[in-house]
Amino acid sequence: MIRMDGIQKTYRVGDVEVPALRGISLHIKKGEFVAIMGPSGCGKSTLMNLMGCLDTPSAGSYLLDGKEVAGLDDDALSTIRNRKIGFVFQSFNLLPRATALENVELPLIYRDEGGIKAKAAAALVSVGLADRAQHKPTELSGGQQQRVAAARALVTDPAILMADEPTGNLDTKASEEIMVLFGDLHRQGRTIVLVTHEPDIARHAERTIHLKDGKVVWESRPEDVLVPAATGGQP
Amino acid sequence: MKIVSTVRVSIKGLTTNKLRTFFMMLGVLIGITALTVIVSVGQGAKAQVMQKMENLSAFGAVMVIPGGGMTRGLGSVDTVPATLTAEDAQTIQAEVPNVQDVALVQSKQGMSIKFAGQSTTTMVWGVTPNYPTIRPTPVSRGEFFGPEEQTSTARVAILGQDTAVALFGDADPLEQTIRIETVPFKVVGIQKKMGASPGGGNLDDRILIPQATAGRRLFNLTNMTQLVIQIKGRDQVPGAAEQVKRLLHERHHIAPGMPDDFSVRIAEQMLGILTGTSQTLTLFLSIVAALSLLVGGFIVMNIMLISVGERTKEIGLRRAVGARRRDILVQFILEAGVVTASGGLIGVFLGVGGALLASHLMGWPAALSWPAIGGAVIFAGIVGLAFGVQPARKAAGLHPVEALRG
Repeated sequence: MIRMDGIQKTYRVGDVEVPALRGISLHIKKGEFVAIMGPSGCGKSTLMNLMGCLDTPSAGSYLLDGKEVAGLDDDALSTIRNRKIGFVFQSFNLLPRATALENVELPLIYRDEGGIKAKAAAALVSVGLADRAQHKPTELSGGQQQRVAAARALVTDPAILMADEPTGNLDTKASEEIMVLFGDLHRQGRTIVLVTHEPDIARHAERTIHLKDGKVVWESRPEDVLVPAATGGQP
Repeated sequence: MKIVSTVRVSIKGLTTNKLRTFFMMLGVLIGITALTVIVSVGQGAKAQVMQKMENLSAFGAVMVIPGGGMTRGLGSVDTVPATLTAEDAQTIQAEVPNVQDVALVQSKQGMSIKFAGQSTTTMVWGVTPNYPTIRPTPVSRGEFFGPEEQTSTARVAILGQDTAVALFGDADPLEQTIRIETVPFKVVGIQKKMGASPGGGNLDDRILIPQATAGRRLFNLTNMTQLVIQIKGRDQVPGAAEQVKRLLHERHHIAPGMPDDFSVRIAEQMLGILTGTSQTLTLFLSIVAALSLLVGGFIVMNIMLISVGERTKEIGLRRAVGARRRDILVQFILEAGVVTASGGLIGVFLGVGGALLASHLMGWPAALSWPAIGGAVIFAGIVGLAFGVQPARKAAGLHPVEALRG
């Protein structure tokens, strides 16, 4: 599903070139639930933006669904985001004055197809918010807002769900609910990529890719993490 | 993305912040309202003058007045150059083709009129009996004088409505004897109410008497204050006017290089003189209104720029879910276009209402010129689109990642 080879991303700040990613190679299979972890500044958000086709790499190859996307132009990337990728953000990013239903409709507006309302309503049902369709974001709890955001990500039936710190603005209970939702989606066969810095959240994933200074340093599985965490140290 | 859904997105964007949308609309709205009122009243004024000249059948006639200046209206026989004569009229009638009839006018302002204890001052018009056939002068009671009264220099008078009221009040003036200066005249007719002349003079405040009587018994002068020449066929008027001019130039022995001592006017020209000032004013006010529309455009641009700044996150989100640059561009341009077009439309309604109200309350004439109004709305739309481009480009140029960060 996702295959990255020697991906580099360098930002230019004035005359100084700041490398954010220094040669990332990874492979995420269809249906996998992968977490990306690392300390702040390790490049995980940059990697997320590249995977989500919000940005283009400075060098390297990125095969998404078997197609090279590294050199595509802005319009083509927009279309890929609309067709293949669903985003869930830390701060939900809902349109404040639109209803839950209207928020979920948003990605469908940028497609030329009918039945927008029905699809959006179905997506809200799938996250358990059928009765909140006409509520504005301010009338919903944080957990509910994030579930609306998830419905918005799912409404296009994307190949990959990208979640950037989805629990960062939620309390423990709401976080747990969202992660249960992600677990359900994973069991339904969705490919999920989750960026987080919380080990408790990453544990929900099948596999965790650890990043440091723009490089993949190691990979782990939940059963690996449990042991060193229990002894209080890092492997 | 379909254009229909783009329009819907734009309208949604506008309705979410109604106050801001209202302020964006205001400048354009005021500009279009002003433009509509100005154009409507200007058109109305022109139509009113046209109507008056039509009523007076002025379009088929050539007027000659003494003096070479641009004096408008009728002069006074004792103050105008004494160069225009009845012989001029006879020669014109005889020598200029397509002339149907020539009426003589000998007029004098400030004549004192007395009846019993009452007195007033008005303009006395000595006119030939054919005058009413060229310039409709309807008489409501009695009769207009005929050729016999002209030949016999009869002392008969037709009173304008206002003059009749000033002298007689509610009493019947017919068959009564009035004095113009010291000369007694019998009232033989009352003129119908006519209102103002195209030049603005009051046609109800005057006395009409036979021209021969006026010249010999009252003024003791032979020069005329106006010749009114009826031309056969309206399209012959300009040519006839030119011939009249040449003939009089010759008859009056105007030296080469010297200005004529008379002026030949045709109604189309008069119309230009009469409406010229109001047209200049209308044009000037229209330019001011158009400038205010331009200011409205700048307001739209500024508020749109602020709006783009405030909605960076929204733009980032739209980009993330698949909006192309073009979609964002069109969305914001349409927002500006919809605001100004609806501002323009509301402005037209207010302007039409304002023009009708003005005509109702203040008696201003108002004529609605739909092409002009349609043009104004289209202009408003163009202003909106033109000033919406810059903010929309700014919005579309945002990088999705940076926009999402807000």
